[in-house]
Amino acid sequence: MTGNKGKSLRFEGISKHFDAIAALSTIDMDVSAGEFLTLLGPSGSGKTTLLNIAAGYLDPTTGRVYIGDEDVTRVSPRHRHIGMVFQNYALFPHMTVRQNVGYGPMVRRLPQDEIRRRIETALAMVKMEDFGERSVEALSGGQRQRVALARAMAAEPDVILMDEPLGALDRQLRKEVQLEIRRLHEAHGRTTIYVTHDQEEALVMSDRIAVMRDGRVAQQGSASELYHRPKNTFIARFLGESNLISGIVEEAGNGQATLGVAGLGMAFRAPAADGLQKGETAALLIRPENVRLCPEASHGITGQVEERVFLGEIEAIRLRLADGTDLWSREFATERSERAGRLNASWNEADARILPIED
Amino acid sequence: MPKTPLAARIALYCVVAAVLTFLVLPILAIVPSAFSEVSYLRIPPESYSTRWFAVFFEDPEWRSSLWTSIQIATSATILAVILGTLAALGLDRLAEPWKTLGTGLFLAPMIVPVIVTAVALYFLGQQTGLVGTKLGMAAGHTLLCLPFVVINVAIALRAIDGDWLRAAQGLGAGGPTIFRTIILPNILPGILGGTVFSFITSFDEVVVSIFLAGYGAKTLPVKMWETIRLEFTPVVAVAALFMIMLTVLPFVLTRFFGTEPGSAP
Repeated sequence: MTGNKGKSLRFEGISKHFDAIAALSTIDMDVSAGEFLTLLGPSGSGKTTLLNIAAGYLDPTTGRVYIGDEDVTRVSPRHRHIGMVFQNYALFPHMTVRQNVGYGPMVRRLPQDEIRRRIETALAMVKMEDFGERSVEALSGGQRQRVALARAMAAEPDVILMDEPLGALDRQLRKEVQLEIRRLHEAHGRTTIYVTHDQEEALVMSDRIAVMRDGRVAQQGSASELYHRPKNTFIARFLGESNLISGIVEEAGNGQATLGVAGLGMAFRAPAADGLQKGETAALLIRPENVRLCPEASHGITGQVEERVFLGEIEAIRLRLADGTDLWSREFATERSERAGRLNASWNEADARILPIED
Repeated sequence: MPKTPLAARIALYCVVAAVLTFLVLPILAIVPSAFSEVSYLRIPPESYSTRWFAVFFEDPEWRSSLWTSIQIATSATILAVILGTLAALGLDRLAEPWKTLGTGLFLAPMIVPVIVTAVALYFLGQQTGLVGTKLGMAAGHTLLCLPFVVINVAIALRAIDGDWLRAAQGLGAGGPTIFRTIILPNILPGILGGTVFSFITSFDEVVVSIFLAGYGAKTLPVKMWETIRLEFTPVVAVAALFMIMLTVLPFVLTRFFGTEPGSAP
């Protein structure tokens, strides 16, 4: 199994309409062999619809789906060689763990010892070797999802598709299975498309994230790209914590812009997203971890400490600025730190970013 | 839960026992009278013998009516189970409002007064020459059995998660394989329940049977009905005993196989 990276998958001009409602509009996307792509988005953004089109459970209204070099748009799910993992596990309740895992090889009529080998390999991958003869009804949620993963892997699919596989698990288990999925992907490297609305899951696991919104891909890139260079305020808000201060673009060009904020009586210069025009309303993004606090000085931005939230190794501090907007800062917490009263906030110009506003 | 006082519990048990006795005793009373020696019914009999069993089995009409009943109940059950299961599977795929409408149609024989169904079948049977034939009787009974199968299988189908089918399909299974390996095992208890109810419904059916029996398709209940109108001898009690045995048997068998009729998996 090792070394087989699965196949690439390509969406070409995919759209999907349910009656008059457009669930997806013109999606073009390439997933290369062995890649872990996450479709991240709020509910109703079309991510599950796109996954179901990849699997063949839904037909696209327009466009084509390719797995490897083959156009599979009209191919039934049973001939696509996919491994689907569902949120509610979808294990067959009348079968044992082994029968579930061996279902794919069994219906494909593989020889008995090949079926046995696949079951054993897949169960070992998810560390469920000792549970083979159990009924799936007797397993916990985390164990069930492991069996579902093993069942998908045992089919040795070209592409693995996961639809919010951790959605039904509690927080602790979610982290555990999340790492399990990542480890599996690193060890066996099959092409994987993973659907979630949880940004943390997306950040931890993916090679690449496509943020979806209203049936479109709002932005795609590596986790760090999306975090550090979001295209607009929607992406900035969706991934990670953010301070957004809105103002008017006074000057833009060469990847830089100046944003005038009337309420603070100041202008900020920072790297800017593409396409900002002078005179347009935009927002300055500063991630809380880039905000530095120091005792009040005569110049710069000052604010009143309004709230302190202890998060373990991190402490979040909320400053209220002169115009009433909040500015969050995050810094390593020490017992010595006594943040109170009026403080001065600053950041490196290069760490901030000016973005078009999109809610 | 607070413990019920002893006196209240004793009172409750007494009431329950009284109700059960009231329900079951008249039926059980028939058992000893089948073993009566004399030619009139008295409960309990003054002396015991098996002579009425001999009378039952020596009379070709009794024998053949019991055999006819078994034949018709078996064929009606087989037909109803196949047609009813297919109907339930089909109805499950329909969109509303057709699903409710279709289900209602299939359940109609259970709701329409049996006498109306009987008259309707009699007219139809007259025109097609099916009155007095086993085929006609089996067809009529199938109609009455169908709702039990449709209901039981539909309930079992409701427990099937669409994702199981999608998962199986994604793993490479085609329609027939999915039916055999996923759907059938999960609706089997429903089918079994439908089978039991069908067999019993056909076996003790009397209204439609009287209309359709003629000379050629006289079932045991029809023969009992006819006999009682002429004479009331313990041979009828023997027939009733067979009726009880053959209706209780399927329930005992399903118990034995570990599934309850009508229960979802």
